[in-house]
Amino acid sequence: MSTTCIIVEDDKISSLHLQRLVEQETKFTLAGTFTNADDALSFLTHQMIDLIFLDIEMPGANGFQLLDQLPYRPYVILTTSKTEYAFTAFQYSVTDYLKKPITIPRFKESIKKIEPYLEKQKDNHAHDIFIRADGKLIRLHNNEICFVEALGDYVKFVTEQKNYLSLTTLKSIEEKLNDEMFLKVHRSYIINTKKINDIEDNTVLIGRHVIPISKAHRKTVMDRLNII
Amino acid sequence: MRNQSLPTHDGAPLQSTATLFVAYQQSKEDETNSTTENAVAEAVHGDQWIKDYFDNDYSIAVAVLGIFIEETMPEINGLANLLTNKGVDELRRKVHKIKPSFKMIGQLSLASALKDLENNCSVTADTENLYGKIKTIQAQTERVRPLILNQYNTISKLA
Repeated sequence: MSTTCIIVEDDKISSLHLQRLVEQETKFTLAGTFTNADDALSFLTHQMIDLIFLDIEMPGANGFQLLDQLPYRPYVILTTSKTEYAFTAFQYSVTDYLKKPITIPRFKESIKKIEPYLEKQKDNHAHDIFIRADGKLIRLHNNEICFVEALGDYVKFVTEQKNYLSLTTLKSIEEKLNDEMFLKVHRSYIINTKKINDIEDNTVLIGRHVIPISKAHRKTVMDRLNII
Repeated sequence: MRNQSLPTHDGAPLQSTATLFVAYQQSKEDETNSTTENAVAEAVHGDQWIKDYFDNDYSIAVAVLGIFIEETMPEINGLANLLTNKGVDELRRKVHKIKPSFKMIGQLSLASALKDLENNCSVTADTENLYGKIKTIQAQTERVRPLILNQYNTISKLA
């Protein structure tokens, strides 16, 4: 699986150089380059990425201020020509700190350093989805979701703790959910089969929620469940 | 370090490092500033940066050198005005930003001079001293400009 990254760097030469280094890494996909923190933040609010190569001193907000505003925390490799930021970088738990200009061996060392973290993250997140709700991207693990319900132009994600409304379609959600765990029982409902309490007539009980099973989906539902 | 005779697409010899070295020797006669000498020598001999930063990929090296000539070098001429109009903090920020590019294209002496200027950009800085340092850096940059242009022409044929 490819690692998606972006570059945030206002200096044209440093940006071009870094782009070239990233593009030579076959496991990396460069999703964008930005010359300031505001443009990067707009992008990151709507797009999930794994890693940021982040300059610190830029016009407007600096690199640390960008990190403060992120709705989630990807891995961060700081790129700067100043060592004075090392202490602050440590406080922000950045993965690495590359001093500009970046030599090829140092860049490769940094990539090698971050690879185990990225692998681990991918294993942990293999069953995660990100939904847009409450003006941000929210990570939901498949295990957390009880069921998903279509509500007009929105989809409601029901978890044991909280419900989330997201402007999307049930069809697109169906494609993203783990199909071993989730099952469509009605044109408006996808349920987590691990959360079923009981089935009675044409309904499924999950927690205190009664969910209808449509005639069209009944056979599929019965075939999928381990009924003795 | 690359050999003196550089290959070309059509087999014709380029202006070699040796030719550039002659230019360097001639220019050296009236040169008194040792830092400038270093900068010139770097421009003449230096293509180690292409290996260190671009793994001998001349196409990207020539693109970077092009941006350096077009955009970074002219920034040097604006440093004195920046100090006058925007103050020492803006000067420090600008110098901090352009310094790595000089190092990246093998201009280590100029990068070092810029670092010294950046380090002197404090609130209590002696402004006259800063103007003096800027003037020296401008003179060094002007000195190496034709050699960098020559290097650009040489590597653009290899790209």
